[in-house]
Amino acid sequence: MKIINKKVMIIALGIFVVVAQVIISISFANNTGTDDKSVDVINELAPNYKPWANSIWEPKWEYSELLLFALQALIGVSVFTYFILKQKSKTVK
Amino acid sequence: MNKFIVTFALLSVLPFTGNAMHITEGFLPPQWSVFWAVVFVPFFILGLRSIKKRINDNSANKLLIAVMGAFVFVLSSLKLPSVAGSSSHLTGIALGALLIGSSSMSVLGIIVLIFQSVLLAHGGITTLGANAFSMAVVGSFTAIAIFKGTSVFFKNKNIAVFLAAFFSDISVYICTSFQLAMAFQSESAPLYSNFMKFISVFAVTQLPLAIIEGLLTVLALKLILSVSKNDDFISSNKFMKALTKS
Repeated sequence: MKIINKKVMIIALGIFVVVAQVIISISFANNTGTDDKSVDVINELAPNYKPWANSIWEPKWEYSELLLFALQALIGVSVFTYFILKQKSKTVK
Repeated sequence: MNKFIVTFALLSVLPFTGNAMHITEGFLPPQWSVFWAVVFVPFFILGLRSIKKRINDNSANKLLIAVMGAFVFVLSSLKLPSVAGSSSHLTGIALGALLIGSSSMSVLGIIVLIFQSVLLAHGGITTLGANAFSMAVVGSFTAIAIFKGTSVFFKNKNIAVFLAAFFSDISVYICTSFQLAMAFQSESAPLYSNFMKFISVFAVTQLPLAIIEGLLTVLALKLILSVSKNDDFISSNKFMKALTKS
């Protein structure tokens, strides 16, 4: 039981670290994405080109984007963790 | 479990930023948006069939498929800064391509792309076909081809896995560059010249990140194999069987 608790603690810590890292890094990021750089190249190649569609919804609140990225990471890590724990429990049995 | 900790630790020391690599909403002319969507559809249908067959063959595959989707979810949420002040993200496609097949990844890849385009305004619905083709189709088929081509040369199959993930990641950006170069070619902007301009944007940023993708894929695969050695989905998967022997 203690071993399982330890594993759960480690995995919970891992989830926390990944999610926290996503939140912190997006908050302080100022690097230009390659998507923005490719838009610059498009503007250079076709200066008259006007984008014909806009995003359905853009996060308006400053932290919406980072929270959604964190949610994405959390969903992924949770499923991955569930798989590892389930497989481990099968091995123990 | 140590591999799990190492994987998390490696993810943790990497700083993240908030930009992406997909073709932005509206930045692909309508005819090209339709073209790439039409090209992608057959792969998507094949992917649905492949997933259905895998689940019918062995219901335990459900969880493995979910985990492959989860890996793409995690890696594509990690925006990493690279050289020249630009940033991009990993794809996570190679792992799934090796374990559940390249066509299955068409379905998982587009789920992640829809999530990002609808909720995060990264990529877009009008560019979904092009982004899905480059990431989920070209990325996964490249992974399979590279693994098959290189695994015969290395006794340690992890090297082949690393190369598969590395080139899978790079291939996504080569394809994206080609898609944009084709869409914006003109007399004054020929295809080759356009391609070189776009690839110079992506390649410089992506090369270091592709190395990270290779390492994370090897770690994740080792972790999955270490907890799944006796499972049916290992014995029924030729890549997994080859990997567990190495």
